[in-house]
Amino acid sequence: MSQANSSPIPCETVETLLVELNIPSDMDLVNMVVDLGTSMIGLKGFSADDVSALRFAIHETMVNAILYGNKDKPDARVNIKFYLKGDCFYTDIEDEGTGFDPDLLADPTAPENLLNVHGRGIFLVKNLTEDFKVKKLPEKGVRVTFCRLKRLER
Amino acid sequence: MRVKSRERDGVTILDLSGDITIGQGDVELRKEISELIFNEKKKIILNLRKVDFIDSSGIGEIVRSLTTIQKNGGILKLLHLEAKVRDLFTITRLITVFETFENEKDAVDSFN
Repeated sequence: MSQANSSPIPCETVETLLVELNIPSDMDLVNMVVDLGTSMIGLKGFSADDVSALRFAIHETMVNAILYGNKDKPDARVNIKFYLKGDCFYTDIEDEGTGFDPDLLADPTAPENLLNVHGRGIFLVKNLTEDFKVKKLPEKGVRVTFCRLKRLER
Repeated sequence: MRVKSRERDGVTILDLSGDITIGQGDVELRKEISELIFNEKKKIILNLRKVDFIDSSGIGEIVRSLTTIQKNGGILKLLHLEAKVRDLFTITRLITVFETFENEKDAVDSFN
């Protein structure tokens, strides 16, 4: 599960939608979304390393959307989109929350935070993916976007 | 997640398998560690060989295990960090906090 570059990468701009889902904010559905995303990336010729990184990133972002974005409210929704841009597999996950600034999150690798129990999820997603973005949506909600660039097996 | 506890030369080894994730494996691991502390076990190894997937809550729970055991005068070491798990521990620099082993005998002998 190799680390990715944090900076945006020059992917093709043509977007090929693979699947879009709108589901209830329910922790029991996280594995279904993870399985769908990782099946798709596997079918598109990405490596086992890419699949592992995406499995982690989709799982963490879904948990974040349901528990923190939607505050575990059962009537809230989560919208998920998987799409390709050239050799980049993109994931968008939207919740109904107010969002967060990923640049303001504490660095879990700082000596004073190293033994904290919490605070590693988004940090790891940013490190395992490229083009990580958090965007407030015009009416309500937040969209987290990240992609994984196809790479060779280690 | 499933946990099997066994003893080898005075060291308690917890064989973990399955997923260590939010609301599932993390809670079970916490209970297991509390029980070991209650039973005054001081030398503990977490064997991660059969862990399929770990999320940030699972990683946090292993950190909590370390600090809880240390506060109670014990020592925790990790065994068989498979590549995907090792990557996560490397990115978060937790690899610098834990003593890790690839061989069970070496891990057990390191307590003596």
